[in-house]
Amino acid sequence: MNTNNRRLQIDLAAARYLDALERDDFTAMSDIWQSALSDPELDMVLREIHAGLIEEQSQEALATSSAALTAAVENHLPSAEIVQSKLGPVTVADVAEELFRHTPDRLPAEAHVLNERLRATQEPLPDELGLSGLTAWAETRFGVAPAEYWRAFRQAAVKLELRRAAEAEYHLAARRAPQPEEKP
Amino acid sequence: MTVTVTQPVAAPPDDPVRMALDDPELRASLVNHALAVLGRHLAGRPAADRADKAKEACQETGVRALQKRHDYDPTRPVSPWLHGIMNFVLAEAIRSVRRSPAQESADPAAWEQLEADLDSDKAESVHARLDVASYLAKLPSEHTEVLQLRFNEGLTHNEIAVRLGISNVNARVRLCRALVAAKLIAGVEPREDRP
Repeated sequence: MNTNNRRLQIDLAAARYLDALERDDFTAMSDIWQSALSDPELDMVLREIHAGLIEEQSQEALATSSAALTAAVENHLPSAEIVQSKLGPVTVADVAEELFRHTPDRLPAEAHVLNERLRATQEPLPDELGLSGLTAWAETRFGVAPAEYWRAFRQAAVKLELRRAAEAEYHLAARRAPQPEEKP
Repeated sequence: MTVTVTQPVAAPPDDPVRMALDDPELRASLVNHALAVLGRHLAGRPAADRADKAKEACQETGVRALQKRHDYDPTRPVSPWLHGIMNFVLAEAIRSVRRSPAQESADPAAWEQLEADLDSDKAESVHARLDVASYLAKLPSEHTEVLQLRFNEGLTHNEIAVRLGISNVNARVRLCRALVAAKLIAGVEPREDRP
């Protein structure tokens, strides 16, 4: 048997095991454990399936608790801000949302109109966040706005970029270390 | 869960089953096995409750393993043998908490068909390659992505995990789910249309 066939066999045995586990088919699971008696690699893969399922269950439990907590805060503390951890680049919509929640004083009415439109714009911010470059970039795409609006927009963009970078570093530090030996 | 009350089973310290049960890593893997199965049925229960149930199942497995230790073939690895016993313990536990009957067994013919379709030796033929492409076209994007990484790009689970920004074990489970979805297609496709 070549390496690819062996990989496929192990992958399919693992898939059959997960399928059986999720259907409470203990007879099929028992058969697969019987095969693992003469296949140490399969034994290890089946244990990885357990670990993967536990990870999923933990994430689901966390999501359920988080949703309940968010709902409670939104109901009983309407003035509180819930900061959701997000990955990926900061978008124009993220910045506009931040400005909507923390609106600077004395912004003209047309700035509010533009900000409302930008809350639905999922385009990522440019790499360079210098005021003149950012203003030129934004006015090309979204139209002209008062200078104080773009100043506030830039401040909010820098704040969100820093927050996102800190979150990315946290996720990097908290990630699971890779196994020293790769399995097929 | 029905825990059978038994007298403590004496076993010499060098007994391989007893030594295995004293191995913390193996015990942890048995607890994980129980949590993975019981967790689905006790999803609304506090984590501590689920952990307690898993430890109970682990203890029951230990008792039964010591009772049956004379059946163990020492030329074979002990871990799958213990997981097999755990499987029976969990089957009994689930029967006591399950409200609906077990679903029908998997269609073995569909699994065999899927294996034949994904077999790299046969993938040299244009028909076989087209068949794999037809699976991908019919699957949701989350399954397609992981199958492409595994079978088209030939990545390992670690590499898939890095590419998708997920853990290694999560990559393993995602690939399994994608293969289960592909198996459903293999089971319903008419065989005469196949290469």
